Amino acid sequence: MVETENHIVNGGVKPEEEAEHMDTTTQGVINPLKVIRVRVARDEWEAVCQAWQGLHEKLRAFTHAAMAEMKVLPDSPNRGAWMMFFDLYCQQISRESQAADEALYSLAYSVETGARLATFADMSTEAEVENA
Amino acid sequence: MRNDMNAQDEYKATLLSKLDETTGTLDALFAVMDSVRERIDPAPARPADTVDPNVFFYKLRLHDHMEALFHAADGVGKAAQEMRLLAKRVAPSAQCRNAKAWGRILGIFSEHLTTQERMLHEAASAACSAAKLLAYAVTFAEADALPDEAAANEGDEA
Repeated sequence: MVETENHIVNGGVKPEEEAEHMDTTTQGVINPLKVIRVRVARDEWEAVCQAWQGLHEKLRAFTHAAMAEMKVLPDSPNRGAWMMFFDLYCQQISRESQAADEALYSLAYSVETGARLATFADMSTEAEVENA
Repeated sequence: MRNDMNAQDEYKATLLSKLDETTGTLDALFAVMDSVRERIDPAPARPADTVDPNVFFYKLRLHDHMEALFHAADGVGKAAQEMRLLAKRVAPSAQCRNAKAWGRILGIFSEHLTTQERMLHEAASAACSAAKLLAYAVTFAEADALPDEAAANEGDEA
């Protein structure tokens, strides 16, 4: 399931960019670049991204529709207070959406880390065999 | 000895009956006190409702948008679960040295993935709940702003 020679899931950082920040003085036997070039659950990750994009669009459409509803709200003595609450709810939706965004990327990083760990474990055995 | 026991039982029964009577008297007294208090300082009458609580069922605003939103959130949850299940199977090869120790680490990794998937699910649900609150608030505000007659007509139509 773990594929090598490809950029992993996501996180927005390319392997080359990541390698620039790497400590190259203590690389040891296993080249970290090879560990970085692991790909796992890429199709699944894309499916999650698409689903998330869909939810994001629905949230945006919802907020726009709510705004439109508010504008045509019949005159009411409490209109000002209601508008304040609507604004607060819109902000809350935006913040919750950001939180879900963070959770999604956090999940992606974990998947990537797990794949790298498994690759590292395999590589360390191979390196020992080669050295022997 | 038996006579003593009987006397004790009778005494106990008398005490319990007196206690019942006293409780009844106290209840009656409290009821009288309540009615006197109500006459001296009557509680203000609750103003008539202007919004039918059933409006959230028969005339919820943004209903279609909300349906789409919850459907999309469900999609995110399922996709994340798929990814988690696949990533959970990540493991070093059987020939790997220290396979058992690595297995322990990857076991914790698997638990961690489950927690994160739950976090994502919760966060997406929270966004949907906030949207639901907004839809309810819009519905309430609109129903409250309608003149009484119009609101009554809308209720009849539904």
